[in-house]
Order: sequence, then structure tokens, then C-alpha cells
Amino acid sequence: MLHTCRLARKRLAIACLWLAAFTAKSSLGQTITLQSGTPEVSGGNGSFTLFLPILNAGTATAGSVAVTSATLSGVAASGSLPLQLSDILAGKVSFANLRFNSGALVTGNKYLLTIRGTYTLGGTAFGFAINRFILLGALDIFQKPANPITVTPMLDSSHSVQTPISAVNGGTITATGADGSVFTLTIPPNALLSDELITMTPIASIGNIPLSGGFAAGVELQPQGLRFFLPATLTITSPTTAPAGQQWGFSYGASGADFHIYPLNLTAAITMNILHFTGFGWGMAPSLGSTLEAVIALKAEQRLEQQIAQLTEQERARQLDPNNQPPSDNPQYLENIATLLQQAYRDAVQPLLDAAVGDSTFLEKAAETALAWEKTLELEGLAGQEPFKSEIAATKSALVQLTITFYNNSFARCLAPDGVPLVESAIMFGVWKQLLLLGQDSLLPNFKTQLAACAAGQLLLTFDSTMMDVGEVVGKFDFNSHVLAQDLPMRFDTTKLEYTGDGLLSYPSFTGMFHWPPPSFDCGSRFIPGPGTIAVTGVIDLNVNFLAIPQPSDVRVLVTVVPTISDLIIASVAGPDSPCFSLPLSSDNYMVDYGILHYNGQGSNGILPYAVFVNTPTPFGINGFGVSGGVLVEQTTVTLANPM
Amino acid sequence: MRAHARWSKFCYSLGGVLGFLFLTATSARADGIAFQLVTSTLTAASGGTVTFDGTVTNNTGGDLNATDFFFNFFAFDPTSLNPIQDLGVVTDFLIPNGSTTVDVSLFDVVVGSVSPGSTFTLEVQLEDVNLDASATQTVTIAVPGTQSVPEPPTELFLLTGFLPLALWKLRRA
Repeated sequence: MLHTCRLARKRLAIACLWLAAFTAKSSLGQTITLQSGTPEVSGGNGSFTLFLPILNAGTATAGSVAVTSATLSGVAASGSLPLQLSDILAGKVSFANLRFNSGALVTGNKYLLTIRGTYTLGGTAFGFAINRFILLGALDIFQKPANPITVTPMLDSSHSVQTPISAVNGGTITATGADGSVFTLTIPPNALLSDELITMTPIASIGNIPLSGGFAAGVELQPQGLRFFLPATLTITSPTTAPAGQQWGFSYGASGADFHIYPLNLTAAITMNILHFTGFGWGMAPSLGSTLEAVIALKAEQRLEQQIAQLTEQERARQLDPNNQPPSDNPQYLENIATLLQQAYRDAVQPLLDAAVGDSTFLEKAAETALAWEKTLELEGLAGQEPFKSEIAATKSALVQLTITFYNNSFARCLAPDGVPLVESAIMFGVWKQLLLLGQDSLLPNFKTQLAACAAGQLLLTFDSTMMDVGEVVGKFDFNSHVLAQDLPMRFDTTKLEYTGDGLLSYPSFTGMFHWPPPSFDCGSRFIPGPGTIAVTGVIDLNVNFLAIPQPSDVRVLVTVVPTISDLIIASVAGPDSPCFSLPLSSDNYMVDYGILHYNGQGSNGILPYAVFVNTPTPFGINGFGVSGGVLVEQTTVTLANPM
Repeated sequence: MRAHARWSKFCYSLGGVLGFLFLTATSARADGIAFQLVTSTLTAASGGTVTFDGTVTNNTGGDLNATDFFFNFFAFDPTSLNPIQDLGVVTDFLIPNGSTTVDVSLFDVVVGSVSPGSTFTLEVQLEDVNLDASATQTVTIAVPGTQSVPEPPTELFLLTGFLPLALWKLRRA
């Protein structure tokens, strides 16, 4: 009996030890499950490159993951293997970049990709093999022909807002639409190359919008084509609501062209990151619909936006699902984003950079696409991960070299007999400012000397301004003043890097009328204009396509005017029983009202500037209210002439 | 005897909990795709190859082809095993939504030069082009023969495992 009991204990002990051994080996349920994501395939004619996401869908870290072999239906990858992918945390993705060179690989055929390798778990090395059939040579979104659509936006100009934004400090601009929708654009410091006057106009409606639930809210942002170096954030709060999975961001270019869906941020509020202007908003639809599915935007940057938008739409709905709180991880989302961004690099960024080497007209498009690609990588948290980290470094290096070459060519053109100094100095200035933001301005050590040699081109300012103060109440006065500065020379200050000028401001006319309470009457009040001066600064707008400035009329300048001009009103009033009585009543009326309209405390210098294209007389109508309740109406035409 | 009872109770409880965890860990995925093996254990000679046959079920909501499915293998000894996908390689065929194929060759495992009497396992998962994934299954390849000497790590482990038993016995003595 005793023996039987001991035997039973021994068996029990062995059983327990076996169980302990088993559980130790499986690290208490910790698992590694390696899967492949959707690959990006590029190349042709027997030479293909594969970018394959590898996901660890298990619950433990796959340590020291290495790819030891890769084959496409028996054709081995070229290049050095093993490929070390380091550790892959549970739920995280790493990427294998593989090249295959063989005449046996034919475009349009399917091949079985097999990746073999090793990883460690609990100090033990294990093998893995993942498979995926690959169709070689299929066109991706960046290789397909464009299929754009145009919509018809109707703007609500009565709710338009204009604000100067400092390049150094950034700023915020807010507009409210007729339906109560609030639009807030927040621009971070150093997102702009130069100060900018930004206009935000709510969209009242959009004709032909291809979202089945219709338009919800949106704004147009001007100047058209403005670009940010860091993403600005647009937040839209509107009374219209829809479930998260039915909210679609959108964007379009000038006059509603190239309408496409645009990524919304993964937040409950409607927010989007913006790198360029023009139209942005959101609409409603239970699904994308066949029209938008077929849309292929004109530019690679917009194609990237529409593809990211499709992926984030699903992920946003998943993360905001009340039944998925807190949201579970979804590594496949990041896999898909990464694959898309790798496609963008291979089929858009790199080809455009290559094209720009031989033809500088591609530089602008290459820079825009590269910037959008890089910023998306940063926003998705992939910028520090290989192969993107190396690709970003290579892209930046290529862009810097290309822009320096562009700068040198611009300087050479400027010194040539038929050079256009204004155009070339704007380009040189823009390149230098871009390098400054990248911390690479030391690569242009002679910038200021060269800019001075280019002379920057003289501008002649004509400032023709009328100020009316009307609708005053009884006891007050209305007036109409006209001031003029004609062909005032402005020179480029290579220290301040802006145009400056000063001179006389004439006062051709100053008229007005008192509203005396009856039976009192005016008995010869006088409106006397005085002498004046004007000080002007002009900042070249580098935020809009400075790489593609072909002629002076494409140079946009923010002109800040400081008028110092005197005037005097002598009031003369008489009554039925009293003689005419006169006294000086008011002075410097034009200057005071100009200050009310322009010195609004915004912008880097606190003065509302005029945005003017060179050689283009530009009218401005600015309204406000005077100190005594009258309506102020400024009508000013600013002309910057560039004498050749 | 009471100590023994407590210990055995603990062991059985531990086994139950861990067993539950293990089972739930492998069957938690409610997937639109699945594969069923004719047998999950095959015998192969050293240097030989075994073929695992079975069916594939598509409940993804859309029709798929055999080449839309991919096998992933992991947790195996890379010096002894080399798994190779068969599904879709020789012939491609439609697997309509809501259907299960007849038995076909799913994958092979090439066994390296190994000791007689060895047993190897590997984890297998089926993935599709839409990134759906099946539950993971474990397959076993047994190499006939007698294994004369336990592998050092196992021997060491068993020795360590018996140590508490010996101490327990000594204490009782």
C-alpha cells in the first residue's frame, strides 16, 4: 500500500514536472505569429523590388528577427542576406526590402514569394517561413493615368476672414460660416517661409459633390497654392453630424479642380493636417461610392492623400467605435500605410527627383511630393523606421543638392544681360530660406553678397488711397480724403531681406460735411489737407511656388504702408440767432482711420499688409467702424511696378 | 498525506488554468478562413519529405483563388525542418465564398539530417490576400527509430525538476 502510494506520488510529480516543462517552453502562453502584409512591387524587365511588411501578430516580442533567404518561385533574391530586422514587438511591423534580378521573372505573372528566417523567443532560436503570391508588374496608384473630377464650390464671402500670419511665430485664423460652423486653422511656428496674409472663406455649398450624403462644411483657404513646411491643422466644428464611418474629408484645388477625399485625423473632432491650400471640408456618405473610387488625382501628392484617406477612414471608424474602447491595436493599418508610402517613394518621389536632376522644371513637383511623403511618414510615426529613415535622408540630401544647383543657375541668369533680377532674387531668397529652415543655410555662404550683386531689382510703388468716414450721427461729420504716393522707389535691403522705401505722400483732396442739429447750420467749415510722408516695406511671398516663378508678375509681395499725413478740420456753425462761430475740431483724420483699419495688432509687425503681385495694380476695399460710430471705407489701389 | 493532497491539487489546478489559457490563445481568432488537416502528425525519415493534405474554408464574404492564400510557418527548428507551401503552386483554382475545398496538398515539410526517434513540431497559420488569418495549428513530424540519449537541456531540466521531489522526500525521512 505504502509502495503504491509512493509510486502514485512519483507519477504525480513527473506529471507536474512535465506540465511545468511544457508551460516554460511556451513562455506562459506567449506566442510569436509572423505574417506578411500587402507588399509593394516595383520594377520590370526581370528586375523587381519588393517591399514586404512583416507583422508579429503574436503576444511576445520576436527577438533578433533575421531574413535568411527570399525566393520568388525559386529565384533567389540578390543582395546580401541575412537581412537583420532586429526585434519585432508584439503587434508591430518591420519591413523587408528585397531585390530580384532574373530574366525568368516576367511582368504580369504570379510568383510565390517565400521569406525564410529566424527569431528568438525566451533565448531559443526558432525558424519561420512566410509565403505570399505576388503579381509582378501590376500598376499601383502612382503609375495609373489620372482620372480627376471637378466640383463647383459656392463661397460665402460675407463670412470671409483675413489675417496676417507671422512665419516665425505662426498663428491661428478662425471663421464662422452662416450655419454656425466654426473653422480654425492653426499654423505652427516656422511652417511658412515668409509672413503671409491668409484668407479663410466658408463654403456655402458644393455642386456635383460625389458624396451621397452631401456636403457638410468646408472652407477655401487663400492664397491659392500656398505651402507649409510643417503641417497646419484645420479643425471644423459644425452643427451637421454623421457617424464616424460616414464622415469623409475632402480637398480640391483652384476653382474646385481635382476634387478628392482627404484624410481626417484619428480623433472624434473633425481635424485634418494641411500642407497646401485651397479647399478643405467634409461630407457624408455610408461608403466611398463608385465615382470617388474611380478618381485618380492629377498629382502624386493628391493621390497619396486620397489613398491615406481611404485607410484612415476605416481606422478612424474602428477607433471611435463605442464597442471598441479603449481601441484595440490594428497593426495592419500601419502595414498598409507603410506599403503605400513605399509605393509613393518608389513610383513618385524617387522618379521626380531623378527627373529634376535633368530638368529643373520638375524640381517644384519633386519638392512638393517629397515633402508630403516625408510629413506623412512623420505623422504616422514611421519616419524613424527603416527603410524610410534612409530614404528620407537620401531624399533630403538630393533635394538640397538640387535646390543649390537651382540657386546657382538663378544667380547666373540674374547676372546675364537679359536676366530679370526681381525674379531671380525671389528664387535665390526662397532657396536660401528653405535651406535655413532645414538648418543647411551654411551651404550658401555667399548668399547676401550674391543677392546684393543680383541687385534684387528696383520696384516703384504707387499708393492711391481714399478713406471715407460716412453715416455719422448728428453733431458729427463725414469726410472723404484722398492721398497719393506715385512711383516711390523701393530697394531691396540685403540686410533685412525686404524691400524698403519712403517719400512724400500728397493729399490731393479732403472734403466733408457736418451734421449740425437744426436749426443750427454750417457757415463755412473747412477741411484742410496737410503734408505727409509714407514709409513702405515689402516682403517677398516665398510661400507660393517660388521655385516656379517665370516672370515679375508672378512675384507676390506683402506691402506694409505706414502713412504719416496731417489734415485739419475747422468747424464753423451758426444758428438763427447766433453769428458764425469757428474752431479747429479734428486733425489727422486720414491717419487715424487708417490706423483703425490696419493697426489691428496682428501679424509680425502689427499692421495689415496689402498682398500685391508685381506689375499688377491691385484694388483693396477695407471696411470698419470709426471711433464715433461711423462707417469707414478704405478704397486703395497698390501698384508695384518693376521697370525693366 | 495532506501535503501531498494540497500539492497534487495545486498541480491539477495549475494544469487546468494553463490548459485553458493555451487553448484560448490558439482558438481566440474568429476568422473568415480556416484549414483542416487530414492529420496533424506525420512520420518522415531523416532527409525525407512529408506532405500535409487538407481542406481550406473560405467564409470571407468574397470569392478567392488558391493563390490568394498563404501559409505562414513558425516556432520550428530551422536546422531540421523546411516547410514549403503547395497550395496554389501547381494549379490555381477558385474557392468560392462559403465553400470548403476537397482535400488537396497544402504544404510539404522537408526534414533535414536528424537523429532517429526525434520529434519536431511547427506552428502553421493560413493567411489570405485580405489579411485575414486562420487559427494557428501545430503539426508534428516524427522520425522513426529509437532515441538513445536525451538531449542535454531536457536531461538537465528533468534533473532540476526532480530536485524538489528529492528534498521533499528527505524532509519526510
